[in-house]
Amino acid sequence: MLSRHKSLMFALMTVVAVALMLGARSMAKGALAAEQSEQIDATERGALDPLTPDEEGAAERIARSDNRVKEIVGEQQVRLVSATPVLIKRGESPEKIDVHQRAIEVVLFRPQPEVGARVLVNLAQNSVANVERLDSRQVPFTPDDLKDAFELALREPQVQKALGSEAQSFHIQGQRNAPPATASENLVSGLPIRSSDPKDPCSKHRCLQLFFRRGTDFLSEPVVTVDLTAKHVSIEGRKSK
Amino acid sequence: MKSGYFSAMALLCLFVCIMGASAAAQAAPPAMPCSRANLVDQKFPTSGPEITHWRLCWQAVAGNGLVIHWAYFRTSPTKPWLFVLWDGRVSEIFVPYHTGNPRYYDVGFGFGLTPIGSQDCPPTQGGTVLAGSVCKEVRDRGLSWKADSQVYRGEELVLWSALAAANYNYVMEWTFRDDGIVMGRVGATSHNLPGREYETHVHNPIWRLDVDLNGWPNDSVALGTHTENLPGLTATDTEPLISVESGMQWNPRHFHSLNVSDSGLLNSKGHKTEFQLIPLPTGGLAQHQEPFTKNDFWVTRYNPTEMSAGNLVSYISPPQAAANSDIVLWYRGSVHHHPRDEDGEMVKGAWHGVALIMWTGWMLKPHDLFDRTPFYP
Repeated sequence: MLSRHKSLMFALMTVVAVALMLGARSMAKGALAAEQSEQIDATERGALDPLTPDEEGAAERIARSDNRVKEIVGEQQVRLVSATPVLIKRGESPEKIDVHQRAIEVVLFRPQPEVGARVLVNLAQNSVANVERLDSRQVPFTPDDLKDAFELALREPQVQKALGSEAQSFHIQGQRNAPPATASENLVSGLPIRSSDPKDPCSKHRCLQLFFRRGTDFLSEPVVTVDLTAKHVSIEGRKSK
Repeated sequence: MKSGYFSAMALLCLFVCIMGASAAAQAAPPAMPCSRANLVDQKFPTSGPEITHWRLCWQAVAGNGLVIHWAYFRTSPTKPWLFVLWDGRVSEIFVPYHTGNPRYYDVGFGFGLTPIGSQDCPPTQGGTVLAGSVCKEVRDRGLSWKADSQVYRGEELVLWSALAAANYNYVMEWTFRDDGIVMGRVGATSHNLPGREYETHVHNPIWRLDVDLNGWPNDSVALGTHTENLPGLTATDTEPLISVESGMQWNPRHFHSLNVSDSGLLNSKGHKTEFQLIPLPTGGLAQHQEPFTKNDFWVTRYNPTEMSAGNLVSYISPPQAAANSDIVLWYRGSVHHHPRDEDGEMVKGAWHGVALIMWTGWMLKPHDLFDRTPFYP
């Protein structure tokens, strides 16, 4: 009986010892993992995390210096439209994807003549993985286009008259590095417009319609359509209820 | 002493088995291509032991707004993570006015997101502001089920942001529910079009949903179809396979849905798991002159360069095989905006007022993913 108790005690002590040993190892591993995780957080960003200004600058520089890109858009007056982290499918499952790869899709646009390029940049390898020519209709509008359109519009006496002495006080919506617009600010914004009438140049050209916000209210007039391709401005009369 | 040795070994084996099972239950979450504020990890219920779990990434993309990547769902802490969505986004918002012009393509401008603050996203309502432009809300979603005196209230994770599209704001909302349902909505709000404040128009958001059940190969789509055998009393449900890339019209009388399955994905009962894309229109769905608006549903094969809904017709010309492949679903909703006095009024040549938010959307609903609902005792 006594020896049976001894045996059970031995068994229990063995299990407890093993459990303590495994527990201690697991805690040590956990602490190490947490420490490593903090280090990884500081050094390795996720593939789709927002770009830092340095990363965006590097991606743009790599894209602009590629010979295929130069052939398409040239080197002068080329604008950055966007730089966006993207992830490309590889293999057959998400486990095969390097979740830290920094592939950046850079879109560049040259307004004269209107031509764009979509460039896939591999940031880690400092290289360009793919280049695609974009026709002007495939290139999204940016606040740079809006600025051009507003400048063209301001040359029109009718627009100047409608906006009055405040004409120069209108800010461009969404300009880079500009603080968010306040409710009291005068703002000009624009929407891409595409005509369904084949005779209308805006069925093919890059056209923006401009809207003017004074404080929180939008001016009903002027409604200005700017054909950026033809550098032409047209002004629409107001439709009443 | 010999029996003590055997007892010790037996207990040790038992201990190792328990530790092993526990380790399996605590399986490491999948590696994600995002971190910090862009990674959202939410278990349900929010208090108490986990029943289900979502893990996903979000990204702010100029023009498209709030984009969802890599949504994983787990039906129980002991089950593996299921990959559901590679990428979900609003591909275009097409806005034609009733007089024929203008016709706007609102994603054609690389609009950014409006700032979001605690007024938009109050912490007292379960809100957390992410990166200054996205609101994460974790909240009660009302009744999950009721059976006489028994009841269970569900919960959901909602991510939303607002695209600052000139005079309009488009609220883009993504909901991930405790029962595995994903919902997408777009809400149009802010100021009526300057110069055409009283003209009716339609906002058509078109979603591109790269659903990759259990990874991207071997997915297929069927058209869920209910048919009343009229004249007569019976009805039948069928699921014809969509074998090639195509566009389809949604018919509410047929309860049409796009049912996505993966050839290797069954639940424990051996039933084929599906996620069914079900439209949730508000009032109706418009069709316009433009060919890409002629269909409400589209199924295409994955091609990373095919991102723009305005080009859908060219994406399926000529149509490629779509069965057992890497597929992408597209769905177009419509918001019919008939201006009303509640939208605002003209004051000294300027429009003063705001259009109250109008929604349209869809749900992606699991079918035979769970063996039974885990929310019923």
